[in-house]
Amino acid sequence: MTTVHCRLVRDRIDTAAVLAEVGRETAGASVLFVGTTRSITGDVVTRSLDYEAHEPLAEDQLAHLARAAVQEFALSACAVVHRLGAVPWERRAWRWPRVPRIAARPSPRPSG
Amino acid sequence: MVRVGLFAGMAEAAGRRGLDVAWQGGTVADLRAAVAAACPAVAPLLSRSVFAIDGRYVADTAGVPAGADVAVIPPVSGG
Repeated sequence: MTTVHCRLVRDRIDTAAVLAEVGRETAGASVLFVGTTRSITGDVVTRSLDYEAHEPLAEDQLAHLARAAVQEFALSACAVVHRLGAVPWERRAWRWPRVPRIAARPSPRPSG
Repeated sequence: MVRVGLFAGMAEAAGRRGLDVAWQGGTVADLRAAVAAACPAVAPLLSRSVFAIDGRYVADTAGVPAGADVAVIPPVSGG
């Protein structure tokens, strides 16, 4: 069953938890996109971005976009999490998930 | 009367987060003009902002009932 999770948060986004939300037995990959505060843009230095939202409207729009992505790309699940408030540039503005270093090959299930 | 919520750059330009606008009824385009008249500081951003009524984005031709919950969302950038 396709599921969509959308929410606004005020703290660092726990990307491992987000990946866990979309993991499915029927999916062969999970894709993670993480936006960050870009500190250097040419000659301009940005110390922090301050995100503000009309929250009910924002949540509604995030859900709309997620449902559209699920439909267009035949996704088995989609989660969209957006941070609000001041987001300064940080080397690790999010919690990076633990990623296995070695790809595994499938082991056939015993039959019968 | 219509209560108009302001966000981000709009709120900064106005120096407040909301405006009460005298309202006899009309469209979003009419309300856009009424907000600009009530608070000229937001006029430059207003023409590039979108309006939402009761949690839905609306076109300039949409009607605005008295007492509606109106939000003005200024343009955002990123990337």
